[in-house]
Amino acid sequence: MNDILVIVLNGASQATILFLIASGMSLVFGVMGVLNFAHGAFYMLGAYFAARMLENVDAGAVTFLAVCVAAAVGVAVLGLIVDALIFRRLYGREALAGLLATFGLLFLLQGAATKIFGSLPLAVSMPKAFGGSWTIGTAILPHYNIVLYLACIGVAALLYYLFSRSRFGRVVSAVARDPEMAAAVGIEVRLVRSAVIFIGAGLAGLAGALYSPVISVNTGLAVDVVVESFAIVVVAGLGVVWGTFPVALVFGFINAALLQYVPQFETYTFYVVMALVLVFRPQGLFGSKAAIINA
Amino acid sequence: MYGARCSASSLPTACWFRSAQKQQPQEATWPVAPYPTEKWAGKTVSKSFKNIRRLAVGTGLAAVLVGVTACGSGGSSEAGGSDNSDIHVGFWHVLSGAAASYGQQTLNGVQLAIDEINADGGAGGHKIVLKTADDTGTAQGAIQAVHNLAGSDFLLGGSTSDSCTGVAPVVGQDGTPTIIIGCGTNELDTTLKQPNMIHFPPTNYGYASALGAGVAKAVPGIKTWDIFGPDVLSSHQQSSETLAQYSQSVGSDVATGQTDFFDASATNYQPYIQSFLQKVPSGTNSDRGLYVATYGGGTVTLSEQQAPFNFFKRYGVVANVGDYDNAAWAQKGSAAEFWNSYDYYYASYDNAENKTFVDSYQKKYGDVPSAWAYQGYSVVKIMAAAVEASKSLSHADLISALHSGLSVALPTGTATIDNDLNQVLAPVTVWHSVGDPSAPQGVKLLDTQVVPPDEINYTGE
Repeated sequence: MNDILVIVLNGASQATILFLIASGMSLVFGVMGVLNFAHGAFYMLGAYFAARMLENVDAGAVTFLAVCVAAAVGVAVLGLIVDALIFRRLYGREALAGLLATFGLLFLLQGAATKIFGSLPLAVSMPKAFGGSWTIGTAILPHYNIVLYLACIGVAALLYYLFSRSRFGRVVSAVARDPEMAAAVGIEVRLVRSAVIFIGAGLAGLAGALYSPVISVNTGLAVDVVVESFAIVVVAGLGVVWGTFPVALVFGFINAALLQYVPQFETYTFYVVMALVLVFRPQGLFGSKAAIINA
Repeated sequence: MYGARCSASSLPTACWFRSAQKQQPQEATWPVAPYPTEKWAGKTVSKSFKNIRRLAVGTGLAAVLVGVTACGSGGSSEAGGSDNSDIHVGFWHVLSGAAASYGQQTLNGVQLAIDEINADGGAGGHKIVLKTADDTGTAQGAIQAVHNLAGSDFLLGGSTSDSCTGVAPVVGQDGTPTIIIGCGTNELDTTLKQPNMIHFPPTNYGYASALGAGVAKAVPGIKTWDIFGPDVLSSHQQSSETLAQYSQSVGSDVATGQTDFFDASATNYQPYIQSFLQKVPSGTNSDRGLYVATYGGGTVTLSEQQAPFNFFKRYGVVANVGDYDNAAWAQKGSAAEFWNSYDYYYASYDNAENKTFVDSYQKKYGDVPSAWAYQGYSVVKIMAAAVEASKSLSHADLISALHSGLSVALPTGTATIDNDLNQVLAPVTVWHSVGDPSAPQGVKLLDTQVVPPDEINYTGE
C-alpha cells in the first residue's frame, strides 16, 4: 500500500511539469502547425522572470502566486512578439522549417537570458506557507506539490472549457482545420493565432514560475524538459491538447513504478514508449491520421 | 578590454557564419523558377525561393546575434600593442552559453594576476600580453581555440572534462607550455598526460580523497555512507574515493549504505528522494553520512527540493565535491548545510597572499573571488614563476622551468609541481557551511579543513 502511495505521489510530481509544458507545445502545433522547440525557452524565461521579481523579496503565498501569474503574462507577451517576428512567417510551411527556426530561436533566447540575467544559477525562496510537508506512512508529500497539482488541474479545466465548451474553442478549431475558410467567414485568423501563442507561451511561463522555488534557475532549463515534453505531445497525438493530460499522468506513473521496482529501466521509459507508439499508432494515442498527413 | 568583434580567437563557428554571410555572392536572379514566380524588388524570384530566403534571413539573423554574443568575449586584452620582449599568453575557457560565468570568473582571476604582475614590471621583466578564446565547453571548441591561439608563448585554459579530454592530445602535439586550469579529469594525470602540459586543479580523485580526509578530521564518527547523485562516471569515481579515504583516515572500515545513481538528465529529484528515503532509517542518524554527487546548479536544485523531505537532516554529515561557492551564494541564505571539497573558498584562508587576492579582486570586480577566479589567478602566478625561472621564452626552456622545482605562493598556501604526474600540488579546501541570510554572501562558514597535497590521492590508486 505504501509503495502504491509512493508511486502515485512520485508520478503526480513528474506529471505536473510535463503537462504544463506539453499542453502549450501541443496547442501551438495544433493550431499553427509549428513544432516549437523554443517552448522550453519560454519555460526558462518564466522561471527567470519570477526569480527577478522575487529577488530580495520575502514573498508570502499570495505575492508569490501573483508573481507567477505576472511572469506567465510577461512570457505570453514575449510570445506575441515572437509570433509577429517569426511564427507568422512559418504558417503553412513544412514542419522542418518550423523546427529549424524555433531551434535557432531557442539558442537566441538562451543567449539573451545569459546577457540579461547572467549565467550564474539563480534561486527563488519557497514561500513559508508552502514550505512544509505531510508524512503519510513512510511517504512524504511536500505542501508545495498540492499547489502544483491544483495549478495543473486548474489549467486542464481552463483548457477544456476554452477549447471544448466556448465559442473561442470553436473559432480556434476552425482556424486549425482550414484557415482560408475561417478567414472567408469573417474570423480574424491572425488574431486567433496570436491568442493561441499567447496562451501557449503563457502556460510555459507559468510552469517556469511555479517551478522556480524547486529548481536552479539557469539557461539550461530551456532544453531540460523539451525532449520529454515533446514525447508527451507525440504520444498524445500532435496537436491534441487535452490528450497531454492523461498521457503526462500515465508517463509519470509508469516512470514512478519503474523507479520503485526496477530503477535501472526508469531512464528509458519516455523513449521506449514514444517509439512503440510511433510504430503501432503513428498519429498518437488520441490523434487522427489526417493530422499526421497534414503535418 | 575584450573587443566586441570577431577575432581569430573568437568562437569559430559563429564568426565563420558572419564572415560567410558577408562573402556570399548575391544572385541577381534565380536561373530556374520551378514554381510560380512574382516580381520582387525588381528581380524575378520564385515564390518558394523567396520564402526560403526569408527563412534563411530570419535564421541567419538569430545565428548572427548569437554569434555576436559569443564573439564579444574573445579578443586581446592588450590595447597598447606589444613588442618582442613581451610574453604572449593564450587563454581559453568557456566564455559563452550557460556556463559562461565560470569562464568569465576564471578570466577575471587571470586578468587580475596579469595586472598585478605587469604593474610590478612583468614576469622576469616581460610584460604579459593576453589573448582569449572561447572553447564553448566542448572538445571541438577547445581544439579550435587552441588552434586560434597558435603562436603563444604560453597557454592557459580548459573548462569542462569534455573540452580537456579532447584538447589534451592537441596541446601535446602543439608543444606550447600549457597549464590546464579548470577540469578535474583524472586521465590528465595518467593516460592523457603530455610532456608540455601541467594540470592545475586536483583530479576528481584528488578532490574526493581530500573530502574524505577533511571530513574524517572533523567528523570521525560516521559508520555508514549513503550515496545519491546523477549516474555519471565522476559520481562513481568520487563517491568511492571519498569513502575509501574516509575509511583510511579514521582507521576503520565504513559501510556503504543506500546508493542511488539516477538519470543524469533529471531536474525533478523529488521522486528519487522519495524512493531513496524509503530505504533509509527515519529520524536523524548522526553516525550516517550522505555523499551527494550533484554539481553546480544541480546542487542548488537538490538543496531546494530536499528541504520539505528533511532529506539532509537524516544525516550527521552531507558531503559534496566540486564547485559549490557559486551555488551556495545563489541561494541567498537558504543553502543547506554542506561539507564541500574544491580548490578554494575565499573566507577559508587567513594569510597575506589570500588577503591581497581577495582585496584586489573585490576592488576590481566588486565581489569576492570564487574558486574559478582563484584558479585563473593561481595559474598566472605559476606561469610567471616559470617565466622568471626560465633562461629564455623558448618553449623548451619554459617547459624545463615548469619542472625545475618551482615553489609558488598562492592564496591557499605553497604550490609545487609533481614532475611524474605533471600535476600542481596545492592544498585543497574542505569547507563546512550553511545558508545564513545575515552572513556575507548569505553563507556562514562553519569550519575549514585545509588538506595538504601529501594527504591527497590524485590517481585513485
